[in-house]
Amino acid sequence: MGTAVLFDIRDLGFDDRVVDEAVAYLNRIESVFSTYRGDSEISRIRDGRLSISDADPLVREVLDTCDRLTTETAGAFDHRSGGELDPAGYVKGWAIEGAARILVDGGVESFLISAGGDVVARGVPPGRDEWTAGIRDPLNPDAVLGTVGLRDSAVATSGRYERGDHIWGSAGVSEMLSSVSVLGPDLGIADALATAVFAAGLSDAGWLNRFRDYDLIAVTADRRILRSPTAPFTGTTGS
Amino acid sequence: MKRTLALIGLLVVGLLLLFDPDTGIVTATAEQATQTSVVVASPTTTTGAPPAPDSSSTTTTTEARPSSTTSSSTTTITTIDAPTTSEGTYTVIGEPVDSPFGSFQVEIVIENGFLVDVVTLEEPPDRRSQRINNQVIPIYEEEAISAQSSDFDVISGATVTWEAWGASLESALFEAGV
Repeated sequence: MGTAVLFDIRDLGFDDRVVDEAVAYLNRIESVFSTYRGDSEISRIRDGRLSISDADPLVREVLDTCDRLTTETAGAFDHRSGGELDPAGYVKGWAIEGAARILVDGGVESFLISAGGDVVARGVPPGRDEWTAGIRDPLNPDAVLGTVGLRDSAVATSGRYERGDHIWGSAGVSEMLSSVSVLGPDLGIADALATAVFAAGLSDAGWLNRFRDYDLIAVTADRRILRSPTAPFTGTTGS
Repeated sequence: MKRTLALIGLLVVGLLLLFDPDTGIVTATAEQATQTSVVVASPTTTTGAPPAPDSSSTTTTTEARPSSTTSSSTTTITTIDAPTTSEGTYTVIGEPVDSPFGSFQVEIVIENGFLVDVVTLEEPPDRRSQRINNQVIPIYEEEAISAQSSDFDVISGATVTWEAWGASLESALFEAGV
């Protein structure tokens, strides 16, 4: 992770300590899964100093889900690529879902948690019927291309925001994607799917149809916005 | 109702600026966090600023809690009040944030509630980083001030390539309440 996590809570009264608990949980996840730290469990598993069976049970849980996702995305989500274990494309979203569960269990009803651009929403803001998340313009980091409505759902965005740096879909130039956003009930799955579609390109993402509860918004290098039919997306330019 | 920004897994030396909007006097408090710094603030709605997504929100100032650093715990909790005026021009320095590349720190200038300038105060010194930074950071600085909108509660999408730069900017924007 190594990121800024925003908790936006609209309940009028709640126990502050649940936020501390959620932050402590995220730090624990970071210490287990961070590939930046040589002493994390994932790093020690990668270099053979620690077996999965001796590791934190959450590692097993995450890797089992990642293996399932690899199958269900026909290999587009690949946490074992090049022999180096890296479940980061799932862990970030999964961890934020865990933090959301802590808040809900602690009695918080209406909140957003946002981390590195991935967002989970519960309940609704007072006086409204859904939360609103802007989809960042990949070419203009402080502008948005449109918004999506979130209600007990999540959105994850994979992308690159440096000029001239794009991931090529296997179909070539016409497919160059600048960013991919996936919306759905679980942020971990959404995170993995966004990572997978961004890596595979749209023409090789037929497996996405299997994930019926998840919607897609993709932005091409030439600023076209592609979206699944049911995506609750409203473009700022009326698109 | 509360907005909390937590920096997870980043070594942060927090330099927080507490504003007195009437006198313009800034007092600085330096806090050493071991791993996580939790910054708690309740931004105010201000006139003249872009409309807040939740226009019914009212000002609540958080209670000042004494900050504590324990050697085994990894949390320092520091409470600040966000600036309460939309008038005038002032500067907010974001938290210096470590990254695998080095440390970033961003300073922003707020004028009448709008972000008008972003300056990178600190960036990694090594040569490869320097070459990249010279090209890319001016673009980020320019783009960070180009479009501002508050028709949404949050933005989905990576902030910038280096999360540390973005985290410093976010911390500055958050403290400024814009």
